[in-house]
Amino acid sequence: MDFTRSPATTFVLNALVALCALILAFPLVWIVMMSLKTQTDVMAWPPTFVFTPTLENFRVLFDVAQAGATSYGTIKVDFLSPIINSVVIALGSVVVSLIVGVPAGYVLARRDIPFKEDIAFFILGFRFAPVLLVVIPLFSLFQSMGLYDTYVGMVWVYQVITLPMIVWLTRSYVEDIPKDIEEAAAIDGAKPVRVVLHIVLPLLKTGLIGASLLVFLLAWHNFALGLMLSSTKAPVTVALLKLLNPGVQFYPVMAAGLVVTMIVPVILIVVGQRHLERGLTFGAVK
Amino acid sequence: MRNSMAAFRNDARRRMKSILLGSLLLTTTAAVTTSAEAETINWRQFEGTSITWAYDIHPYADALAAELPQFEKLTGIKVTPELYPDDSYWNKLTIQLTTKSPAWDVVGTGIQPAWDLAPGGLLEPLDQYLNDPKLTDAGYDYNDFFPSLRTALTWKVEDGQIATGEGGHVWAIPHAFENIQLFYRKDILDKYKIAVPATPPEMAKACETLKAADPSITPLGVRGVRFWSSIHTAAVSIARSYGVKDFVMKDDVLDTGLDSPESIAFHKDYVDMIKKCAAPSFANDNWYQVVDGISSGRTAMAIDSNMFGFWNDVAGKPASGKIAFAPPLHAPNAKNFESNIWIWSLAMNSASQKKGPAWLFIQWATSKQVALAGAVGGKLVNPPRASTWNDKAWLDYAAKPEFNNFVESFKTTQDRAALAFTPRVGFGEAMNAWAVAMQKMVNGDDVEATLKSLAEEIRAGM
Amino acid sequence: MKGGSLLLPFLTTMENFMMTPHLSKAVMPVGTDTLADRVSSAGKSDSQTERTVDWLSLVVIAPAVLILLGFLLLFFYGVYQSLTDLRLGRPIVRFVGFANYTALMKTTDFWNNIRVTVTYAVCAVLLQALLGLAIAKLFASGVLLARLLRPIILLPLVLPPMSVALMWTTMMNPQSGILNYLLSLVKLGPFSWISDPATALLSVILIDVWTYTPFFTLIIFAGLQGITDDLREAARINGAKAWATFTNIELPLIAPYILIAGVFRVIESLNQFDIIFGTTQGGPGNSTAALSVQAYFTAFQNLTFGRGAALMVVNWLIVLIGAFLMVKAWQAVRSRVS
Repeated sequence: MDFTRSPATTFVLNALVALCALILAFPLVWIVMMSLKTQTDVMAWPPTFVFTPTLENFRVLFDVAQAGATSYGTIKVDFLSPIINSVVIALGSVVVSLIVGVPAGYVLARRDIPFKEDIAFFILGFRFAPVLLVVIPLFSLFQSMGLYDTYVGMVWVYQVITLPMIVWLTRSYVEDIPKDIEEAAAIDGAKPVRVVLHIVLPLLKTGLIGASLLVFLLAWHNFALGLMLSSTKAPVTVALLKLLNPGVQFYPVMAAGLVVTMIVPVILIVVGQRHLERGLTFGAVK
Repeated sequence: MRNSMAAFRNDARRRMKSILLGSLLLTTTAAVTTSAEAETINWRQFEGTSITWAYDIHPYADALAAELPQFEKLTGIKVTPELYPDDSYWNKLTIQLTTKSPAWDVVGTGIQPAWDLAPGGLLEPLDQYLNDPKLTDAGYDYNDFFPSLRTALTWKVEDGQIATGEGGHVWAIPHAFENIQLFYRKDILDKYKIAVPATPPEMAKACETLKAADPSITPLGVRGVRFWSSIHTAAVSIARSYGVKDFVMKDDVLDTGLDSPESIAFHKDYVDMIKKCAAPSFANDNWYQVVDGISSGRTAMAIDSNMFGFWNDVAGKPASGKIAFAPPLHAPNAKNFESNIWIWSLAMNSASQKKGPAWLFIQWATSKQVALAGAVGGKLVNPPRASTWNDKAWLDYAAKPEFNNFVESFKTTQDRAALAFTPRVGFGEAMNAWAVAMQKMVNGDDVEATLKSLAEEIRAGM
Repeated sequence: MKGGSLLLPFLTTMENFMMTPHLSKAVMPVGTDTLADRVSSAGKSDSQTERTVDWLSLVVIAPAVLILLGFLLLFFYGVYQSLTDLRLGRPIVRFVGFANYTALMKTTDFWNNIRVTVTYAVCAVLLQALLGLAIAKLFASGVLLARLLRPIILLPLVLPPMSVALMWTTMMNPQSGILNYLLSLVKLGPFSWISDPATALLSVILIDVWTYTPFFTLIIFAGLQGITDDLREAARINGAKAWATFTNIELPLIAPYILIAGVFRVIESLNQFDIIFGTTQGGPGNSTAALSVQAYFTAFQNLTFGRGAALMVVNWLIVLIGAFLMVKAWQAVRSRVS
């Protein structure tokens, strides 16, 4: 299509693309800059774009012994444990969702079972469930089962978000695999389970890596469940709250915290942009 | 309270003179009491346990955290602090306790939130521990706490409501308290020849003068978040001087007084003052922002807990040595000001599985030595124990010139300071609604109509 | 047509579910257009090949269904709680029927909550659809920078919404925020953003727009990729102007994509919690108090959990209505396209 365009149009289009990219990226760039500034630089007006970067804010973020001493109290952030919590919970959620969800997704794509479409909708419907409504019943249940503030409990409750995603993505990926391949193998006398393990699963591999990336991301994003169902095992999004309120003097450290929560997803973009696009758009982008 | 304050004043004058001798004496006394108390109870009876102590991110928490190694050495109990910023802390506390989670053993609370927590049996009554000679040191001296503080934290629960008076349980132990004052930058007010305002209209005028003179100054720091914590400082103190009551008895039935003519008069003045004085970010400002404003030098005045002015006199800050204190504003036609008190206290989670160690921690954290050390360290202010106020180490410290008239103003204010709320379950719900209504009025909603619907909302919740 | 392999079955399922919940098995979609054909034929061939009950499959799918059924029970328990006067911290709980709901409906705040929720969702999704379409067209032009910078589209979408909220709170600070500074360079402002009730709702909507416009962009982009150049070329040869090609050929073909994205975004923005909680917490006043946020405060801050649960149930009903309307719109577009 390019060949029909005049150089002027091409230039304008490029400029517009650059503007879009700038608007999308600027907030992040600004926060990264803020996280590398001293308190004085952050408070400077007009805001400065040129400054001597410092890693002090990140030190404060991770220094368990001595964080930011402010005029309203010492804030010991200890950001490392929430990061570990988030990683453990998110990875755990991915593993459990894969084990439980991939077979279910396959069945929904290929097998004939009663009420298949209803089950499919039922599973997907959880993506839109008002999560807060289950929190109090969950809380009591967690207390009585000793699951409150444990990794096991958190991984279990995160299934409400991650499991439907894995099921639906698997279903979409399985539907993309031509049926003939399986049918051919079945005619050759292979048992259904063998067909799935040796033929379907290898074909699904890339797709499942992408789905896992996405589900990891969703778990990483979650805030409301962690806010209410964990305390020492709180994820990183909840730990951000510790940086939220205490005033402007804490802006650069808060920025550092934000950068840390955002860096993981950005790495995921680098690792698997296409997979993420497909997952995030629920399979519309291939 | 008034008697003790007067006694303390005379005492203070006498003791001020012998600084050197005083500090010598203090060292010896501290040493003697420590060893004496160690003999009375076995502090190591819960050796090897570990407990969790939850608190607001606050200098009070700092003061205790700094002393924690001492406690661990004394008892062999490990204490893990869990600190959250103000509004998350209160939400978290509610959820933790209402679901009977044993995760937190000792929690920080004020009287008002405790009204909502005690009736459900969520807090452990502490009198049984106070009266147990195996658990409480003879030298602990509970009666050393100011009587007004002890009374405020003692009540019983009758038919799911709070009943003050005889025969109540002790629900929490104070470890520092605040009264509400106006504190201001002497230098800024002097520079623009502004007299210290005494009423909301005067304040509004002063703010206009300040803004005209220097637009970069925020004239007045006040809390405005849509949460009860923004009501219990400036708003309720000033409201009381207008004759506003949160709840009144009408024909033997409890009713809210927030739509009374007095309340309308107060809100008109207060809202006008906020519009002219407060930062544009008023609705998002909690006490952190108030402290920040005053300590960074952006804010000229603030109405909040008195020690926020005190802390910021710490050397090296832009406002060091320039903050002076005055009683809070009062109604133009009122003879006197009113000042609310807030008592930061330590309470025990009734679902805790380590109540013995928890009590040892509360006891230690509110002991004479820790109270004094925290006060002299400049953090556990105002000290809740009479003995601290009679100790020259503290008095000498608090009377240092960079704190200006802190002690003076504390005494003047404390003589009239009292709990401004009616003890009642449902405190949080009603006061949160008040805070939301306040934001609406500051944003231009009609005062009378907003108060009317606020009152209806509160009545509906009763 | 490449895109939408997962989305379409979803919509078809949802459509069946909503129109004829009890007969969804009996009334298979008889789509006339190619998109739906693909779906329904796949469904039919499945049901025709095997007739015996496939026990292995049932066993395999059981864990997923059971886990989620557990959540469903908790969910219904939450609905039950909305019919009680449950107060956190008070041992006595009474069944009060619809008292919570009727009490809510008498307050102006409740209607304000609904107004905020709906305004937020409608404005955010409309803006996102328009901008998303424009940006997708821009990136589909295939110019050099568009090819190079494409991964950036993904950026806002992968950040935790809570982090996004805090990031924008910092930038929108009326006194020290970068936004007011940048706008002052072009002689605009200063604005109070989230601190002023007049602009707070708009500000949080803008944050939502920044975050989720890329969602539309990606989906519409996929739709545009599916339109072959031949189609455009044919239009051009027939003398159609660029704009006419767009409105007559492209737009109808990507309309289903826009609506699919719309369904997801409407549902999610009606449920939005993180962005509002992280910025205004519903204030100033109640100017950004969407149902989800109000429900949280009612239940967990004011401790009146029964009332809070009622707000959550109302929120959920609104989500269902929103989803229903979007599916209706999708049906209408689909029949027009064919």
